[in-house]
Amino acid sequence: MSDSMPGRPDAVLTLDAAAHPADIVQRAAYRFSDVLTVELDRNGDTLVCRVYARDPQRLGSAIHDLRAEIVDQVLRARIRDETQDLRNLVLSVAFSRTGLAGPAA
Amino acid sequence: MISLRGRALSATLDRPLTRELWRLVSDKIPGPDEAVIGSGGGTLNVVRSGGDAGPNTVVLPPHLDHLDGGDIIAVSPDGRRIEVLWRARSRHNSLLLTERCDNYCLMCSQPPKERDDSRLLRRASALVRMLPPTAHELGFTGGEPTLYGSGLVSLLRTATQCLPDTEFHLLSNGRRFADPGFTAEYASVRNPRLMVGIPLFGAEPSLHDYVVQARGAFDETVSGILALAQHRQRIEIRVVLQKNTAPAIVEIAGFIARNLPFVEKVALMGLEMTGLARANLAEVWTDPYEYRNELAEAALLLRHAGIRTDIYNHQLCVLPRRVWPLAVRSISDWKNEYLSACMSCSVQEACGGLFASSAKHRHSDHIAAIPHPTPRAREAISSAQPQDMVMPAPP
Amino acid sequence: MRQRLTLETAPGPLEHLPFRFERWTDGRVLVTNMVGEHVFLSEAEFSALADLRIADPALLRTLRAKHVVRQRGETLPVELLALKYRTQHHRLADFTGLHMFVVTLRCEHSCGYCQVSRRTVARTEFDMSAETAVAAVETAFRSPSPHLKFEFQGGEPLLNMEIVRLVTQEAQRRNRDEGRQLAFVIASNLALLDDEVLDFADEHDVYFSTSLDGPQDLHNGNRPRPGRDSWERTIAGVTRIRKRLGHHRVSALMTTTAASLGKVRDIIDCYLEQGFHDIFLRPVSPYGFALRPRQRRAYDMAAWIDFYREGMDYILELNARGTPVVETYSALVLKKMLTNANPGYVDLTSPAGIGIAALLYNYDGAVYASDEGRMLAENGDMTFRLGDLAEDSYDTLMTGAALLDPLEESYTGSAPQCSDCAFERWCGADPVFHHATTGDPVGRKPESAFCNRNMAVFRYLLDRYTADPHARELFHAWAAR
Ligand code: SF4
Ligand code: SF4
Repeated sequence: MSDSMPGRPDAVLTLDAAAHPADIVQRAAYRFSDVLTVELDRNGDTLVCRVYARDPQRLGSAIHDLRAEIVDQVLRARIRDETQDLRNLVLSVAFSRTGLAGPAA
Repeated sequence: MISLRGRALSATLDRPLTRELWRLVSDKIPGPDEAVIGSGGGTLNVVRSGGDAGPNTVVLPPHLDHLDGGDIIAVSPDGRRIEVLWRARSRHNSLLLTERCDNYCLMCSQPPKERDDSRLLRRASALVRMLPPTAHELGFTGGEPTLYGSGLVSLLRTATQCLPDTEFHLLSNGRRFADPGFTAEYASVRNPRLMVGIPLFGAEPSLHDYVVQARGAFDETVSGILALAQHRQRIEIRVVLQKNTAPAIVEIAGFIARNLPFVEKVALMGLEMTGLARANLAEVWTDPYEYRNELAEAALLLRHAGIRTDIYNHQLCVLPRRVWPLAVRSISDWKNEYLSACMSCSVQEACGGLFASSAKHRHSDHIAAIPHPTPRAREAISSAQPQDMVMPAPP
Repeated sequence: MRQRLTLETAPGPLEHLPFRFERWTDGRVLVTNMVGEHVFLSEAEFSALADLRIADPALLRTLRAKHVVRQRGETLPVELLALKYRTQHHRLADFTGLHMFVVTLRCEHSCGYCQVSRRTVARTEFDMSAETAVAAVETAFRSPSPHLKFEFQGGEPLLNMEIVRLVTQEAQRRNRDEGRQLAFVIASNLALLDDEVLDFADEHDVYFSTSLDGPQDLHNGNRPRPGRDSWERTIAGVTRIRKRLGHHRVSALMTTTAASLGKVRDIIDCYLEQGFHDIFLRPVSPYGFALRPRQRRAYDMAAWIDFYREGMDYILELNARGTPVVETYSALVLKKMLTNANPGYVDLTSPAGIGIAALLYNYDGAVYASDEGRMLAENGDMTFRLGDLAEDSYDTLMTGAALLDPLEESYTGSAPQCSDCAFERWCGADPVFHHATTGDPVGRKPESAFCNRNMAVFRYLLDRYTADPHARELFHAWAAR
């Protein structure tokens, strides 16, 4: 996410690092990569997220959207982890020869 | 419902009858399993209610006077009780195989009874051997016929051998087909004219299990349908619209279209006001007028999924016109009734009318004559292609 | 008396099945399950789903029916999801059904957005040779697909009928032993259609596909040729084909140029006037804006999206008034949204359609994964050149790195953003496009015109589907096509 990082960020978000792993914040930022880029720094228990706007005019709503998106990404990650095994089970059944109908379901 | 059984007005028999099933003949020398209708010289004579009781004669109760040559009846050994099993002039004959059932549907028209009635299965097997090979269609109902397991399969095998051109329709709650061994055995009958009709009352377990009053039924029924599909068996799904299922009808149709698109047919059926439906009226009755739009949406959704879909037991005046082409002119040829509103209706010919039981007990408050001459029935139903599912190989 | 069972809502502990979501600006949340079945929830319903505290029995029933949650330990939802998933992927087993033959690069048109044609009609060095044609048929028959579609392109294929005949006859000869389903299509501007071509098409069951951009002035402006009569000639050709071979034997394809913007109703009216009830509101081959962004006809995807929405509004209005019109791209998307069928359209298949759905044989014997791959090659970029008929067999073509690398990378299941996009089951990856626009086959989705276009289409269709019962019914009919 680093185009040409100018010195001063246009905004800085401080997040609880335990609840917001860096890759999740990156995923959220990726969805707005047409509007902004971010730089992340872990600082003890906090994650510092420096935001650089491509178009400073649109920064206000973009920050708001980014925050909401980070929350959603946390949820997405949780669902993904939680359902990982079921997903694999569905795939293995889908491409097995007989489906679940056999004795060992 | 017209009673198809009754007490003989009189029976004059020398000795108890040794056989139960008799085919009625009118104008020829009777064979050993044939009874003459009218006066004649057979082992058994059957006369209509006005006739004279001669020797070896049973006199029919008036409501069975319509019986005629070709019909098959069961007569009790003393000649006192008569039951009609086959009406030669009807295209909709069906045989009750048992009154036992492992479901207990809120609106069951044939409330289950828990007792051994396997004589019904033996009788059906004997009847099938007596039917003319020209028999058009024969239904097997219950109760739940699959409770017999292999016994049912033998009946189907016999039927297939004796009546190679007859269409067979088995009505089942489908749960037994979740057992792969049973389904394989059923499929081994290999009759392309055999179809099984299975009711489905929800798109997930809670609603279906409630309606059929049996926990775990949905999973077994749907697994059964999948197992039948794996064996390429012909399947019809029946959905009865009542108070609980009507609000979910689009969801149920969507579920079928997406998960079970391989079924040959879906029947969307109006409530029959008999049996438990009357006892549970408050829990099951809903006016079809209230759900007519959802019913139409569901029916067309299924059609677009390539599934033949028919609407039964619904009067045209409570159906949106775009689904009139899917409405099947009723019920059966001898149960139709019409209300006074129907007399001035322009589509009475095409309409199914009402079940006699509905006419008597409960029907839509919105039965109203369709004033205009034959309205343009929209053919808007596209020629949808059947969709296949990629079924796993049979186990 | 029997113990009465009550209508239970949550008989046991619930758990999530894999699902994805996307928020709508009006507060609703779109939830899609593992096979792309969808349901809209309110914000409150969505939090109830997220926390698995679902009090509303109807909501719980819907979520179980749509395979978004299950009761812990239930196996039926897993089995049904697997069945649907398997069905959706089945098509991939039908490798390579479409075989495109560029029988010549010559053309008597000089369309501004055309990347490939050579105006010099007389020079035959841009024609496919007989050896190349026979080798291409041989390769096509190596594909395991039970259906083979041969599409003749150009340039203007009618300028090299000799090769069109050769390919058709060779394919039919070979097929006498193989018994596959063959289809032949000539993609032509019809300007050169004559009785001989019609006799040939009649005899061999050949279909035509032509370009019709809309009303006369628009079409002729887009497609200059000597005499400025492209539209007239196309319409005359369409009429002749229908008269001779039947109405259904010719279809039309439009391209949205900058000049089309704002004229979508006129374009649709023109199609209806000409008796075409299928219309594909197609952006200029994406490479139009991708490769020559400064050219006169360039416009951005936002403009196309407005064009599409206005066109669809009009199409729905026409259908509601009893005039059947289908928008082909939407119909393909709806098939993926509402059924388990996989239409196999190149832009909507993941893994990407290249190579799997189609192979393109260029006049010079080069083989490409798609028409777009060929266009890139004409501009000097050989990334999607799979090989050469003179050197490669079907197997080496199909297993070449050129095919497989972008395929793997483009697979939407693993590309960034696509991997958690709620639309992913309906979408597809277009590696050639992303390669052309960004230099890598995955593409950065927020900036990708491909992604923007698809998202806009998905959102539009879902909005109409949920808001408008007539559209819903129509969409089911389209999905069934
Ligand atoms: S008025 Fe009677 S005949 Fe007419 S549609 Fe209604 S039920 Fe049928
Ligand atoms: S390309 Fe865009 S719309 Fe398609 S799956 Fe990827 S992120 Fe979603």
